This record gives sequence, structure tokens and C-alpha cells, in this order.
Amino acid sequence: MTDLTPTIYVVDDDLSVRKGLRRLLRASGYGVEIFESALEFLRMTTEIPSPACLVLDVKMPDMSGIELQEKLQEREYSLPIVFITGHGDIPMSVKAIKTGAINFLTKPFEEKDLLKSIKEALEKDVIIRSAISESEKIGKLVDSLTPREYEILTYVITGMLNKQIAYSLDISEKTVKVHRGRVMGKLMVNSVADLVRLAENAGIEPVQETGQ
Amino acid sequence: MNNLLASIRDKAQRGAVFQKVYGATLVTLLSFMLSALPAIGQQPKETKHVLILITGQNDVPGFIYSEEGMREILDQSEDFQFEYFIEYMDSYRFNDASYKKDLFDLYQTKYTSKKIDLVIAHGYQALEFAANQGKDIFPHTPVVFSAVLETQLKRLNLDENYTGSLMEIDYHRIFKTALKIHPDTRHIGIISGTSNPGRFIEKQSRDFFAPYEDKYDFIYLGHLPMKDILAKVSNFPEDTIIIYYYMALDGNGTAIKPWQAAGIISDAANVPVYGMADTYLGQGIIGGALLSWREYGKKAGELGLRILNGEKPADLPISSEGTTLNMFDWRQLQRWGITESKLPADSIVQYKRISAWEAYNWYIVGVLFFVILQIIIIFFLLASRKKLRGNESLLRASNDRFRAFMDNSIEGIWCASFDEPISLNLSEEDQFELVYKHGYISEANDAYASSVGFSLGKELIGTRLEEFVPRSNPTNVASVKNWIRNRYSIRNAETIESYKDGVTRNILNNAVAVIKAGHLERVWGTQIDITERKLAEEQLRYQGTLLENVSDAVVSVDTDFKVVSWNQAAEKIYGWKAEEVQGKLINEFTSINYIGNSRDAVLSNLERDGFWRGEILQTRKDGEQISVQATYSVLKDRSGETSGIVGVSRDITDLRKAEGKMREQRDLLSHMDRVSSLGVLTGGISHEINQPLSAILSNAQAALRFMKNDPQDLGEVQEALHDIVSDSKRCGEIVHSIRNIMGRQVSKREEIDLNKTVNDVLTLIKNDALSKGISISENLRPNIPPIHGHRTQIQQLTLNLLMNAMEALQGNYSKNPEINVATGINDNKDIILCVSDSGPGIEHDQINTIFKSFTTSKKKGLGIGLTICTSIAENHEGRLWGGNRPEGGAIFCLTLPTGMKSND
Repeated sequence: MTDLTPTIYVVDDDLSVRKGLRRLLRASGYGVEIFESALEFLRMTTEIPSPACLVLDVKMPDMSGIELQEKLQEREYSLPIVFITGHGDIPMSVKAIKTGAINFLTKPFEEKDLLKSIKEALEKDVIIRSAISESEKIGKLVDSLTPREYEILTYVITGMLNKQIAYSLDISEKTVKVHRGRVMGKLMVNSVADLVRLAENAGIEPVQETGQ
Repeated sequence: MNNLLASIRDKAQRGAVFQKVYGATLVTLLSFMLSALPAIGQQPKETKHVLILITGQNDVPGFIYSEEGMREILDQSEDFQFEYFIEYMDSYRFNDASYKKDLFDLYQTKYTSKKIDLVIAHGYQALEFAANQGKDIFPHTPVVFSAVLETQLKRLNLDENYTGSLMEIDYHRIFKTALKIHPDTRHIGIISGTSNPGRFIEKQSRDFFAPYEDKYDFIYLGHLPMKDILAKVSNFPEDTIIIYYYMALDGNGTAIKPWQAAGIISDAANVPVYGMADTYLGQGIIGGALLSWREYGKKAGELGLRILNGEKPADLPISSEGTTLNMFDWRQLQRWGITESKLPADSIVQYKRISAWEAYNWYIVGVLFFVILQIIIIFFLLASRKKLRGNESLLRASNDRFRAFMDNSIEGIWCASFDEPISLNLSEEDQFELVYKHGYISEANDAYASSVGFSLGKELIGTRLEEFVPRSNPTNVASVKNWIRNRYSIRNAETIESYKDGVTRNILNNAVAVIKAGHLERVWGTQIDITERKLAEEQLRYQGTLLENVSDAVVSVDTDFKVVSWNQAAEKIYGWKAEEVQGKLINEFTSINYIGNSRDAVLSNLERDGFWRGEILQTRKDGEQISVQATYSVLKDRSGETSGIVGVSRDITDLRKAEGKMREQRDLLSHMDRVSSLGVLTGGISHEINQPLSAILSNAQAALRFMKNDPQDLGEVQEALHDIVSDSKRCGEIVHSIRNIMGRQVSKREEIDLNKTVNDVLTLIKNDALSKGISISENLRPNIPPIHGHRTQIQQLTLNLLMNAMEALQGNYSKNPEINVATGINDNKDIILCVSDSGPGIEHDQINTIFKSFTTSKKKGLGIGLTICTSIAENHEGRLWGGNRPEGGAIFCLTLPTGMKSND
């Protein structure tokens, strides 16, 4: 993954700023894509390669940088954002950082500040992306379970004993044992602890105890 | 100073010479001859040693005169011949003890071995020396003193070896002698200076004159500086004389030689100057009872001779007798027209210029008498012969000329004759009676007749005065009596008369009386009707008064630009008095700067139109510059020629200053308003600048990286630099436009593209609007004509209107807050700029006060925005108006007439 050239997306309504940033980031060895408005960026359909990050101007006509940030957060994955602004104020920057921005740079900014922020953003992107690809793999394994096996899994991760599961499902203890072995095998885990962690990662909720 | 002294001595000597030559030439010659004769056969005379001690220095005429007097008498002695030792002690100037000691040593060395037979001491200090120190040098030698005051004498304890003369000013004689010559004197100027002797003399003089003070006016000038004395004495009334006693110091304490002062004062005086001492004679004084220094010398000489001849000093009386003489300067007697017969009998007249007439008067009279007698006889004979022949025709011709003159004269001519001549010695009353009894009109020309209401002169001839100027009229009685009092002559008497026709006239009267042997024979008179002249004078006076009383300066100059008239208002406005500037070139004392015009342009305007009106800057007398509203008109004389220019000027300096102050205040407020706008706009402005700055920084750093990379990408570097250049320019433009709007400097009037101005302002506030979520739409009409005005002011107006609109949109009044800026041209060809917003509009109760200062609904700002906008609009001959739109929100518009110029 790290052998790929990182891509920086720059959104700024000022042509000079866009051109300057593109030149600087290229010279620093990045791939650069520029957009003159937030809407233009949203309209982009091509898949975002990894690693990548977004350098975003705050004040723009039609849709501001902050509004774009909000829009992107509605998606399953948003790129790390470095905000740049001509005239920033503290409340605005606090808000931006709280909602996950990497940094908030006031124009004109130092090259090292920008590159440091970009580097940070790219690292974060790599981590998040790898996390995403892990959960995707687990999802496939989980998908290979039969409904009965999935059901048994939701019982196992509650920490219930086989006898208890058999009782709850009104099946034999032996049957529970067999299903449980198959689940462990399909999900490639050796212990219940590993199984619980995986289920958590895959977002599988333990069964709700209805109470006796 | 030496020259002066020389001339004084010269004068003094000449005096002596004149006296000798003309006073006693023969006597002197004879006496020389007589005294020379016995010397041949007789024993040689015994030689006597005489020491003469003189108080002062040897350049003072009085001392010299005195010394000469002494020797003159001593040298006449038949018994002795003299060896003189003369010491001028100079003790006025040097009088300290060591000097006296040195003198003593010197005199002791000189005279102890000599046997001094007689000492003559002139003046107090000399006597004092002789009495105190002298005893050791010439013990028991007789001493004759001269010219010592009685009070001084009392200070010394003199023994029987002393006698001499007293110095005494004979005020009585000085006074009487002068008054004998000028019996009509009423005023007496008295000069004695401020030195100690001067004050002493003045005091004595005052004491002496005290009893006469009710009869004469004594004017003491002693305390005045010389300058003022000269001014006074040159301006005395006719019946004044001056008594000059002495002056060594004037009122300023300036030292002067008394005889020199006598000359200066006499030269300046318009009345005769009487003096006190003979040394003044010849300097310019007329003379008077003078202390004679020469006589003092002679008196000392006489006393000395008597002592040498065996008389005892103690037996000889001490007095001042014979030291005051009546002496006069002949030239001054001529100057003041005083004949010698008026002088006291014992007077000595000096400096007399003797003429051939005086030398040979009897011969000349004799010869002339015969010559004249013969001429008279010859003429008498010739004349009577001619008279016999030509008298008749001459008389006829003369009479014809006289008639023609009478008939053609425009002056009224009349003659009053009398049946019998009237004696002028009669009393006024008697003459009055006789005038009416005997008087009648004997001649009158037509001009006279018409002026008194008749048509022909003939009608008046023969009219009795009783009828013509009846006694029943008191006015006539008064004027006839006045006529008699003036010995029947009238000179330029103006009267107001109304005669038969009832019209009142101003008449100028003249009359001459023909008087023979003290009797009035007839009176010739003329009169001129000056009614019209009077009216014209009255009119002129009236106009003059008007001119003097107007509050505007009225100044006229002739064709050479020399001031002819200058009224009171001009004096007040410019500071010069009329008499200071009359006849002077106007450009020489005041500078005139025609605002917006050259002098040539003004002059050619005057030539073309006959007048010019405008504003000028002029300097006052005190150097201050004043603004003047002036109207110049060309003056024409009667022949239509240009005779000058008259200017009517009003001082509008205060008005202009007030205007300047108002403008200054408006500029200041306007500046403050703009600066307060700056605060509001800071965000937008810094954003605007930070954009290109940011790009520049990025490009520069990119370029550095491209150059560091291997291989270098110079193409990219070049492009980066290119962008840096254009972004830098953009930065500069923004800073420039901010300075344009915010700067304090007053911009010049120029051609302005209104659309461009609007765009400049939009640049500044665009970001601010953006961050407030306000959209700004433009509706600018292309190609509108340029306006002529101040760029900064129009920018400010636009900025204020836009900011007001943005303020109005603060809060949630509108879902889509928006501002529209529009430019255009209306039906009147006026240019319009309108700013409208979708805000709440103007509150109903503010709609009337919104254009007033400091009325604001805004939290920021000074509340003077709209006021400034209004004044900017007015300054450009435009109008600012505002109101609410039917669809909601407010609209403000500026209307500017095309091609109109702003006021400043």
C-alpha cells in the first residue's frame, strides 16, 4: 500500500491558491487533484485511492468547507481533512478539530506546517483504511456461516455454556458442540476470546437474554 | 568738533575785529601814535609780573574774551609794562585733589622764584586756588578776582589782599531791554537747560518773573530735549520773545556748548532770541542786556592797575558794576526788522555791514536829489503836453472798453456812489446814516440786474440804497454795518439772498472801496451766482459721505494704478490710512492675487466689459492675507476717456475660513467613518490579502523544492515565479485600493467610472458578505458616462451604502439575505447608483432622522455614515435619497447629474 503515491485533494475557490498548492505539493512528491468548489468535489465519482487526504478552504461561495466536512461525514468513510482559511477565528477552528479535522491552518501558512499536517492526515488515512479492509475480510467469513451457526455464534459470544445454549434453543448439547466447532473453524479462531473480539469487530451483537 | 570750535572762535574774533575797525578805528590809531611818541624820549617802563589764573579751559570763548579784556587794559598802562603768566586751570573738567596737588607743584616750580606782583583769578575755582594753595607760592601778593558769585565768595575767608568783581545776572535789565524793543510781547520763552548752573539760573529767573506772571505768559523750556525745544521755538505766536540764558545739558542730558546751543536755537526760532552773555552774540541771538566777559576782564585789569599804582585792595569796592552791556547783532536786527532807533541809548551794535550808502550818504543824497528833481521836471513837462493832446480820446476809448466789459461780463458788476464823500473817521453810526442818506446805485450791468430779479442794468441805475436795501430789513442793516466795519470792502463773502423773483440764491460777493483822502467816494462790487456750484458741492459732499459710510472698501486708482480715493471701510479692511496710500502705486503696498485669473486676464476683461467681478487674495498692512470679493469697474471722464478703475471690495476672509473649517471637519468625520468601516471590514480585507500572499508563499517554496530536486525542473520554477509576480501585483492592488478608501488625503477631482468604483468596493466587502451568508448581485449598466468627482468620496459613499445594507441583513430577517447594487441613467440623463437589500426596511419612526448625524441602529460605526453620504452627494451637485421597497427591504440611491462639477 505504501508504495503508491499519496493523492492530495485541494478544494479552494481562489485560483492562485489552488495553483500554488498544487505546485508545492507536487514538488513535495504528492499527486494533487484540485477543485474550485465543494460541490465539484462532491460530484467526483472516481474511487479515492489510498493514501489520500483533503486540503479544504473554509470560506467558499455556495458551500463552505465546514458544510462539506458535514456532508462527507454522512458517508461510510471520510478522508482526513486539513483546513486552510484566509481569516480564521478560534471558535471555527475548535469546531473543525472537534469534528475530526487534522489541523486548521491560517493563510499564508508555512510549508512545513502544511506538509506535517498532510503527513499526519495520510497516516491516519492508512490506519483507517487498513481497519476497514480487516472488517471487510471478517464480514466475508461471517457471511459463510449458516443461519443456525450464526445463531449459535450470537449465543457463544455472550459467554453461555453449551448446556445453557442447548437449553435455550431446546436442542441437544451435542448439537451445540458440533455447531460451535464449525463456527470456530469457519472463522479461523482457536479460542472463545478470539471469537468474541472478531464478533465485536464485525459488529455482531450478542443475543439479548430474554430472562427466565 | 574742532571745526565748530574754530568757527566759533572765528566768529568771536571777527566780532572783536568789527568792533575795533568800525567802532574805534581812528581812536585806536591815534592812541597808538600818541602812546608810541613819548616812549621814544622817556625812561623804559617798569616790568610787572602778572599771573593770570583762569578757572576753565582755553577753548571757551568767555575765558578768552576775559583774558583779552584784562590785557587790553593792562597794556594801556603808561607806567608799567607786563610779563604775563597765563594759566588755564581746566578745573571744570579736572577737579580731584591729586590734580590740584599737581597744579600746585607745577605752579610752585614755575612761580616761587618769580616775583609775582599781581594775581588775577578769573572764576571761583581760580580764586579758591589762589586763596588756599596760592599763599605758599605768592604770599602777600594782591589778588584780583573776576566773575565770582556772591554766594561763592562767602565760602572763602579772604584777607585784605583781595578785591574783584561779582558775577551777577541782571534779570531786571535782560527783561526790560527786551520788552522795550518788543512792547507788544505776551509770551516769553525761557531756556536754561538742565545742568546745575542752568537750574540755578532758572530758579532765580522764576523768582524774578513771579510778579509778572499775570501779565505775561512765561514758557519754561529748560526741561525739554533739544529736538522738542527746536520744534517749540519754531512755532511760537508772533507776540513771543525768547530769553536764552544758558544750556550745557538739554532735557535728555545731552551735553552741548552753551554758545553753540544759542546759535542752533536762534536759527530755528520764529521769534527773536535774547541772550545772557556776550559770547552768544554773533551766533544768532539778537542780543540784549548781556554779561560781558570782556568787561569782566577789563574790570579786573583796571582794579589790577589801581593796586599796582598804590591803592589798597581792601579799599577797592567789590561789585558787578559795568559788567552787563546792551549789545546787539546788527544782522539779527535786520532779520527781525528792528531799527536801531528802538534800541536803548547805550546799546552797542556789532557785526554791522557798512554800505556805500552809510559811508557816503550825504554825497549820494545830494547827487540823487538833483538828478531826480530834473527827471521829475522833464516828465512833468512831457506828461502835461501829452495829456493836453490825448486825454480826451484816451478817455473815450477807455470808457468804451469799460462798457463792453460790463455788458459782456457774466459776473454781476455794480457800483454804489455817494452824493458826498463819507469820511472814514466818522463813527460807525454816522457813516451808516450817511451811506443811506447819500448812497445810490451808479452802475449796474445786466448780469447783476438779473441776479437781483431785474432784467436790465439800466433799470437799477439811480436807485437809492434806501430803496435797494431798505433799512426796515434787519438783515440789510446788519450787512451794511458789517460792510462799513470792513471799510467798505468785501472779499469772497458768501450770502444767501432772495430778490424780487423770490428764488433763493447763493451769492459770492466782492467789493472794493474807492477812498480818497480818508473819504469814501464810491464802491465797486461784483457778485457771482454760485447756487449751482453750491448744489454740486452739496451733492459731492453727500456722495462722499455715502462712500465713507458704506461697509465695503471703495478704492479708485488712476490709469497708472495710483490710488486716488480710499474710503473709511478700505482703511478698516486693509489697515492703511487714506493719507498713507494716496498717490501710491497700489501694487507697491499690497499684493493682489486674482484667484483663478491672471492680472492680464482681469485687465483685458475690464477693457472688454468695463467691469470684472471675482475673488482676490490681498495683503493687509499687517501682512495678513485676506480674501476679498471684489467688483472692478472702469471709470470714464467727461470726454469718455478711461480715467481709472474703481473697486468695491468686501472682506470675506472669515467666511472662507469658516468654510475651510467646515470642510476640514467634514473630511475628518469622513475619515473617521472610513476608519471605523475598516474595523468592520478587517476580516474581509485580510482574507483578500492573505489569498495571494498564501499563493506566493506556496509558489516560492515549490520553486525552491524544484530547484533542489535532481534533476532541477526549471520549467516549473519559471512558472512558479510567473505566478508569484502576478499574485504580488494583485496584493499591491488590494493594498492600494484600501489606502485609497481609508487614507486621510483629499483626492482630486477626476473622471470616474462609477462601475469600476462599485467593483473596487465590492472587492473589499465580498468576503465579509460571504461569511455572513449574504449574496450580492450586481446590475451595472455598461458604458455609463464618467462622472466628474472625487474617487475617494464616491467609493466611501458606495461602501457606506453597502455596509448599511449588510448591517440591515444581520439577524434572521430573510431566508435568502441579498443585496443588489445597480447603476443606470434616468430620464433626466442623471447617473444613478442604487443599493437595495432584502432586510426589514427602515423603521417608520426613523425615516425622517436617518439622514442626520449620530442616528444609528447599528452596534458598530459612528452613525454618521448617511450624513457623510449626503454631504458627498451635495458636494457633487447630486442627491441621496432612500426609502422602503414595496416588495420589502430598503433602497438607497445616489443621483448625480452628468458633467456637473463638484464644488471643490
